[in-house]
Amino acid sequence: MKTESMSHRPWLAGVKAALPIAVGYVPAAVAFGVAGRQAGLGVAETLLMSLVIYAGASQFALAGMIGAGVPAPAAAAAALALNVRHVLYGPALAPLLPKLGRGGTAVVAFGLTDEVFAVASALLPGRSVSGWWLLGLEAMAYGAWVAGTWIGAVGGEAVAVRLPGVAAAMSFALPALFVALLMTLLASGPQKASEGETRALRTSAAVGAVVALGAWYVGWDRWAVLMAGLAGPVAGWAWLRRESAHGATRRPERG
Amino acid sequence: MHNELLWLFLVVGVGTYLMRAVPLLMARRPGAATRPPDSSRAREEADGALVWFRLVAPAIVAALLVGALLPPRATPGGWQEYVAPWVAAVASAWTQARWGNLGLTVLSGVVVFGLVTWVI
Repeated sequence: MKTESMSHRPWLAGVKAALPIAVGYVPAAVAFGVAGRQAGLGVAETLLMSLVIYAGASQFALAGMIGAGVPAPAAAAAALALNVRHVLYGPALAPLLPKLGRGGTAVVAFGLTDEVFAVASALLPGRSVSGWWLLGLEAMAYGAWVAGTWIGAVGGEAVAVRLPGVAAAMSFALPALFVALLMTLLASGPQKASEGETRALRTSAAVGAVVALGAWYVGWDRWAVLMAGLAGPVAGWAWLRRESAHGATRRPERG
Repeated sequence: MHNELLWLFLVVGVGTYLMRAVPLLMARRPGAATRPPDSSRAREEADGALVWFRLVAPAIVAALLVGALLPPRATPGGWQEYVAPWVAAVASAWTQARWGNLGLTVLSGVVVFGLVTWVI
């Protein structure tokens, strides 16, 4: 089992391991910075979102809902519901993590994003790393996200004034991120899903989309996300129960 | 900064942090890994709760995507308002399927959206 030495090198090794995350984060964070400004937020407000929330999909969603005038409680509920999948990451990663006190674990938990979870899940098995490695990984990812947000928030306004066409094009960053996230969620999720669960996920997404379309059509745009967030899982759950009743749910072999 | 916005960010930020931290701290408790297995019914209920959580996100993201691709109902726009976002969404989906890279997916969508908007 490979062991990292207890020097500053584990921290640097963690930073290096996070480079692919940073490459993906910076353009998305820049896009978020621009989206935040377009939603009417100031530079400080946009930056604060990234500093405090540090969850891309819910930040984009929140910016969109703020811009659309969705009531704050509904926006908060929808944003939190988007992040519910994060409850799965800790238990999945816990056996692989190095020895950390409660304080260290609490610090590490802050940086447990989708991408950090994915990289840690891939790299940690078979390795014995120190807490510094993990901190380096998370610090690099967090730094990239915050820096990208600042660039987008500060530079976005200049771009909007000098290059309005580019600014208009950047407005598609949010939908593009949703496309990426949806496809990732429907593939197999952070942990391997059975065939039945995958179909249930797709049913949930399809019903959510239809409900949102219906809400838009009748002018209930502001409530579309909440309605979809309730109707979709109910439909997905019903599908899963139906599949279980027919004995069609079989888990893939865990390799 | 408006107080309401500050509270909104704090609520979502703290809530997100707790969703990450609490399960991790519970899983790292001494003896958590060697605890006797729960009854099969308890395991089923725990698995069921996890599956429910996983069903919420796709529904919400799909709704957000649909909302982002449609113009506001109040906007008296023409067919052009529908074409660019949907074409760009297809481009983003293709990029994501091909490379699975978040940055590339966002970039491809933005570029295609800009080009289509400029053309039409």
